[in-house]
Amino acid sequence: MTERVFVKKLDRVGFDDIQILERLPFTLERTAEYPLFTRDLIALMRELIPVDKQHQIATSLIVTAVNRR
Amino acid sequence: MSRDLLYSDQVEELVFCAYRDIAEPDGSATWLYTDEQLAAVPQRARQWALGVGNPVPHAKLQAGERVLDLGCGAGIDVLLAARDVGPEGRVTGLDGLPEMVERARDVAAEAGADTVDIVEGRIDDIPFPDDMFDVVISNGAINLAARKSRVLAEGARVLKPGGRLCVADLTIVEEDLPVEVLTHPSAWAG
Repeated sequence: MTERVFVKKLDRVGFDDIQILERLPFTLERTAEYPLFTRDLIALMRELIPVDKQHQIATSLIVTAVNRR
Repeated sequence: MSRDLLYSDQVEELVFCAYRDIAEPDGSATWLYTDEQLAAVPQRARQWALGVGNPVPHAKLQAGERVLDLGCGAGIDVLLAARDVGPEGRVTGLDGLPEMVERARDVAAEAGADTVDIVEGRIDDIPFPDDMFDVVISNGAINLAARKSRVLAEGARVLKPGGRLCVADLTIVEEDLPVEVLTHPSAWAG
């Protein structure tokens, strides 16, 4: 899911005052420490993602919002 | 003909299998928490921390509030939230994986957290009535769901009017990732 889609979904289901409080880059190395990703996926990412893009393969957001009702 | 256009059953099975296959994690997510937070929870809560952020401080919880953690895992954020809402508050952790629910209950018992409930259930079909919670938190769980809008809509439903949502979750820039990575089954579990 992209940030734009995430925010759009929040708005659509009834949240207001949507704020992104933090954007934390996830590097490939950091991602590899999570056991949820299989070794073959990590190997695939090392092979296919250019080295200069491996410093941020995903972004962790902290999002706050208020129920519109 | 199947009406499950999002293949949500298969996605759920992939995610559950990925979590079931974890034998002894080593606290992949502890780097996200402060030393003070980590010292306040049992070792198993630290070991099984698999989130992608540290949402509880951002939730600005108040004493006496009622909090729901969607996809609570082993419960590290449930315990941290319980500290913030105090003895008059209550925190409920909801998770769909029975093994994780059992783990979170053990962790909560070990922590002596008597204002905590751990409930087995789906985050896209939350087993609670409307307007029940002051705050909904979640950490790295919504991106695992096939029906993400449904999860968010359910979060809005169980929040009181004016209630707050505070979520940590992973996002990607699709153009930056090769299609082989985007379509890999394991990518959904992370």
